[in-house]
Amino acid sequence: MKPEDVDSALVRAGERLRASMERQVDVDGAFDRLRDSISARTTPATAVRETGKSRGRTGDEFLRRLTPHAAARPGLTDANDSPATHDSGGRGDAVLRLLYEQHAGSLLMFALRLTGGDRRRAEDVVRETLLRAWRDAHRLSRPGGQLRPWLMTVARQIATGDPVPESRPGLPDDSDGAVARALRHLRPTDREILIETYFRGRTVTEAAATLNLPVETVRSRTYLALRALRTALRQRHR
Amino acid sequence: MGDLAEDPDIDEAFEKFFRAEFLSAVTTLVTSGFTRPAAEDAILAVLADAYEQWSAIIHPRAWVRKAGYREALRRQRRDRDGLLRTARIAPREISDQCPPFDGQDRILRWLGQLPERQRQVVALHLDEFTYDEIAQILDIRPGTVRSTHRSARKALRRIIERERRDEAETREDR
Repeated sequence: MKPEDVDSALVRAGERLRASMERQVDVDGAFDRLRDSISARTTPATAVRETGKSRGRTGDEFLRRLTPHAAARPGLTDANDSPATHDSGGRGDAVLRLLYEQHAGSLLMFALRLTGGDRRRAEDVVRETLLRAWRDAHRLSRPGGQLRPWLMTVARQIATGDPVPESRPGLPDDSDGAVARALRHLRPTDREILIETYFRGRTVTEAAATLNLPVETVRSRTYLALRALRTALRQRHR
Repeated sequence: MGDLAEDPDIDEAFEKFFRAEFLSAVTTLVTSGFTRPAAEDAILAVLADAYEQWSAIIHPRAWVRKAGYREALRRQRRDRDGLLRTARIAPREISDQCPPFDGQDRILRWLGQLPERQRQVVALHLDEFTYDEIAQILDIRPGTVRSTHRSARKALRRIIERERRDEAETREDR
């Protein structure tokens, strides 16, 4: 075998790999994921403070439209989200601002997908979702769950016109509560994934959208979380 | 698409780059030894980080591969540590999560037998980077790239020849 043969064999094999990657990689889907993660991290930090041209409508003005109704309610921090605190004391918009800063960006991207790119409707969905979250603030402060999945469930229901649950959906009761107890001992990421996939019966794709994660990650996490749950159950039965 | 940033020009350049390069960058990482999902996640993560300073990146094609490789390594380590903490899972079971290829990808079989550095050089060379560019991406001297590539081709020649012999013996001649 001559050195040139090695090169051409490599190039051919490389082309085959490339062709197989073309079949496997979903570039459009990847771009959507990228856009979601960018907006999730840029919106809270920049959009609220800067009254930029394009963000103005969804940023400060958005908040202004919300805040006249808002009065301070305690306890609206999500146990698992960023450790933001409502330091603004008794200010009426503190809770909403917090909600907005932490969730509006990704909610808007999510809502845009739900409304097929209709920005006005998407904004309405986000506003309604955050208002509901604010109204339910006393219930949302319960530990042991993440806020964003619930917000996204509500947003979906508002956007699709499905009945909206009166309060945050809880775990189904199991007879002696063993599963619920075991769930409580899982890591938050494991718990969240099981709640989405097993207890709410979502598909992997839906769960991925709700949790803002790649589908592959949801798949592998589900598997790992189930293992962890099994281990936890086994330990508690002993 | 729009709506990414205040500056529509950056948006456009960013998206254009993404659509032109994502598949190639992922393929380079896969050729270097990562699974497809891991490669995709790593490239997406570094792009999301880079988005705000996008215009400051002078050689985005090279940069995304360099940063992507580092990120993929970092994630691999983190995931492994996380798995060890979460549950006792054998490495076999981890890789079962995302069976990337069906064994038809000869190049992965071949390159898998090379040391990491050689694999990277071959992957980037196939991705049509010059020796100078590869040197910058890998932080080594161009002369080292050249000699590494030479060693890699020598090793690959042995690997391919052995494989062909084995195939001939089992009469699965292509």
